[in-house]
Amino acid sequence: MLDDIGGATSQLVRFALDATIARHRIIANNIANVNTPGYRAQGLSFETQLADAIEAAAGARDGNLATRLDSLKHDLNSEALVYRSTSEKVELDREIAKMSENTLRYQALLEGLGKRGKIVKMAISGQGV
Amino acid sequence: MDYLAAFEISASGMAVEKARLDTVALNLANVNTTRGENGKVYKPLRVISAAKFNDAFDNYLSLSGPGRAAGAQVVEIRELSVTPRLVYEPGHPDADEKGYVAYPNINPASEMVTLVETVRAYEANVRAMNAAKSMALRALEIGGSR
Repeated sequence: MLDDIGGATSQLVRFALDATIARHRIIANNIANVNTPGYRAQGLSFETQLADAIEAAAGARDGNLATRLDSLKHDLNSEALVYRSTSEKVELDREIAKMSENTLRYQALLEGLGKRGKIVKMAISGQGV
Repeated sequence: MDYLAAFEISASGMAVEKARLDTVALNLANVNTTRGENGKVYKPLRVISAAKFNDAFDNYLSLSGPGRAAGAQVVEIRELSVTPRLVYEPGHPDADEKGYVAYPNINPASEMVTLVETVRAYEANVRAMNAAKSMALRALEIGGSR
């Protein structure tokens, strides 16, 4: 619904929210396997890929943003963005730190989405909210 | 939005750590027992855990999507193959003909180390679950006026 009004911003934020949840699942899985012998910790490289896609689309080197985002979305769903650590050990402190950062990122994204909604509301009502 | 998958993963990790804690408690409780199962001496137990992945049937039912990591699981609980500790106590009812009593070869120090590691891992899983919960609650506030 907000897509029509929100345009690229709400689309990007929603995409980033999905990636944040995917990352939380990966971190939770690492923590669950902290005592599993031979388990390699996993991670998600999303932000750099997204920045690359936006930069490439802005430079109009090839294709527009929508098609690039679609392919990135496909990569996210097919777990192509998941990488494995080289060491066979889960660093618990690092995982907890990553988890806190990830939760903050999620909240920041939600905050941004809410602010955007308020701007749209202001535009609709023609007065301050 | 697959919050439930995150909850499930953390819950599986907690279940594994709880099983590990149970075996540590069992080992410590049996440090001085002379009669185990079938009259043989008790042998310390170890939990063997492994990473869990969704199989085809799980994929059909699961919220987390195909072929995805789904936490940890207990593969088996195995007896350690250690030789019993022999103590010379001729008057003991369980002593053999030479007067030796077989006690389980359990190392209390190593059991305590496992215990501490297990509790920490369990706590970390609880943290992960709480983080998922707070994320889900914050998502409910989208568009709400505060």
